[in-house]
Amino acid sequence: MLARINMYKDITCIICPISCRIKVSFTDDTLSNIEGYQCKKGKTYAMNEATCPRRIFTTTIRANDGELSRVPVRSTKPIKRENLFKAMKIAKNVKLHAPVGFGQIIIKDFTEKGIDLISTWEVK
Amino acid sequence: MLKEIYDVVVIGAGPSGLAAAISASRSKAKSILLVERDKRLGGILQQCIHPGFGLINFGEELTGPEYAHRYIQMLNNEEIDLLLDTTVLEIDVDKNITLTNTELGMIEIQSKAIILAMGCIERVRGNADISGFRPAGIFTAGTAQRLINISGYLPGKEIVILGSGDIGLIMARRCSLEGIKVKAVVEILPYPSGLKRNVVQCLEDFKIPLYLNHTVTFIHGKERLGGVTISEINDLNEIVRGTNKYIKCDTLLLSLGLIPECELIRGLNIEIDPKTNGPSVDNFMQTKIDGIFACGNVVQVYDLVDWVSNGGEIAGMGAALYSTGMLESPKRRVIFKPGKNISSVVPQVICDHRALESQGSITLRVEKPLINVRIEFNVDRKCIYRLKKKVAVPSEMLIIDLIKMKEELFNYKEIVVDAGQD
Repeated sequence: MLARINMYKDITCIICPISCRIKVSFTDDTLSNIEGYQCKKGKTYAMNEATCPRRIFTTTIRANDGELSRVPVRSTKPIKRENLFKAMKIAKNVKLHAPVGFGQIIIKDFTEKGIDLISTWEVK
Repeated sequence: MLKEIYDVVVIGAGPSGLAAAISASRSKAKSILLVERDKRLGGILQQCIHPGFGLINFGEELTGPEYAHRYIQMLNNEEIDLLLDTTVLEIDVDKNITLTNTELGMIEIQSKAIILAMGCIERVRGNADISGFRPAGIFTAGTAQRLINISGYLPGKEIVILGSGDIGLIMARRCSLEGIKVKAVVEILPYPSGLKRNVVQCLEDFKIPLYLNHTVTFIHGKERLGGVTISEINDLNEIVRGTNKYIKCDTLLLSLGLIPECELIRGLNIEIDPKTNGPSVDNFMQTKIDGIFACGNVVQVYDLVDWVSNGGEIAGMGAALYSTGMLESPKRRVIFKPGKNISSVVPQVICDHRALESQGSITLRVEKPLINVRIEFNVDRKCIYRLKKKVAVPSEMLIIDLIKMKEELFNYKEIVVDAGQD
């Protein structure tokens, strides 16, 4: 019989100031145990954080010929944390010209389907 | 067309000023002027491109610019005069306001009520007394944020951040994403000063080392910063011998905390709370001078913009009532004072003028992280009210509802707020 591979991840909960240390264990790459949380929200947070952490991505993009030289952008939903640097690379290659409207879609299906990169300010 | 006399003049169009102006208008002040020194509305939110704003007021996670945009939209629905790119030079007790811009030159206007919403400024190198040379490459975290996010310049290639306040942490992430190597975040306290989620998402996500109980003790480099020496600091605030460590870097960002920007009111005889460094206010955010209100980070440095907006809303309401003669003088008042383990209490005074239509709560900050906390209201060392919290940390303000205490509050003249651990 093959030996089972056990591993765990230590997650610090960010839901409230209690900041629980939550231990998420995996056996053969499947989540097997969560302990250390004090509420449901914390349990869900730790589960997501240990399996597929996601973050809202934000940066600014150069906008030519406008009254501001850069326009701030965000992903409409959190993207995979592992894709943050890839996202930066994509955003850096975008060329924008003023005017850029508020909430304008800059890139559709940004890093994955169903997530867009949109502007969060306007440049006239 | 600018008027000579206004009901309400709001100084500063950041989150508190925007909320105050909107609220003054909705509370039926007849003429309102909003003055802002920047060319655009929104204040510091314009450069805070990261998410985390608006969870309380809008129930969703917005970026700084998006949060500002919501308030600017609301502002556009009100009849409010706007002066951008305009600096207020002076205000006096009679509420004359001297302001200047390139178009109007220097002009004076009068207001029945004034709302101070100037925000705060960053502590700089001089505030921390760091020894060493004075090379280029030392920025406050906020300046670096503006350079990167608005101007599009990178401040350097290898950086060290002194101070683990939220702006410093946010900048650690921002710099990392931009390809700048963040070599260390150095914090003199035994715990991070910023929110936990920023420690996780800005430092741990990018594997940036955090040195607690450490500070920068020497700045190297003559033309451009060459590096910094960091050293361990003990409980007595002394450098621990033999712990010096040299870190090579070309940029040092300072995130040493914020101070209310009170320069404009220094000439007035307004009472400044030594704990917050901002003017003392009552539950309508009125200062000790009748008709002069204050809100946002000029009163105390808040950790969430949502609280800033809410304070602005109350100030706007108060100023509108005052300008229309409907804010009656209070008959009874109770002073709140920070006691054991509490670093500040705002508002500092609760008055009975329609008290519970205004702010029905006080905000507290603890001096150090506490667990199983007992917050007590004491009158002559006798506890009149007690509540428990599992945890309290200095980075997160506590808000205590006073509605339950209502009338009882006014039986006392002074209440000392203490925090203890069980």
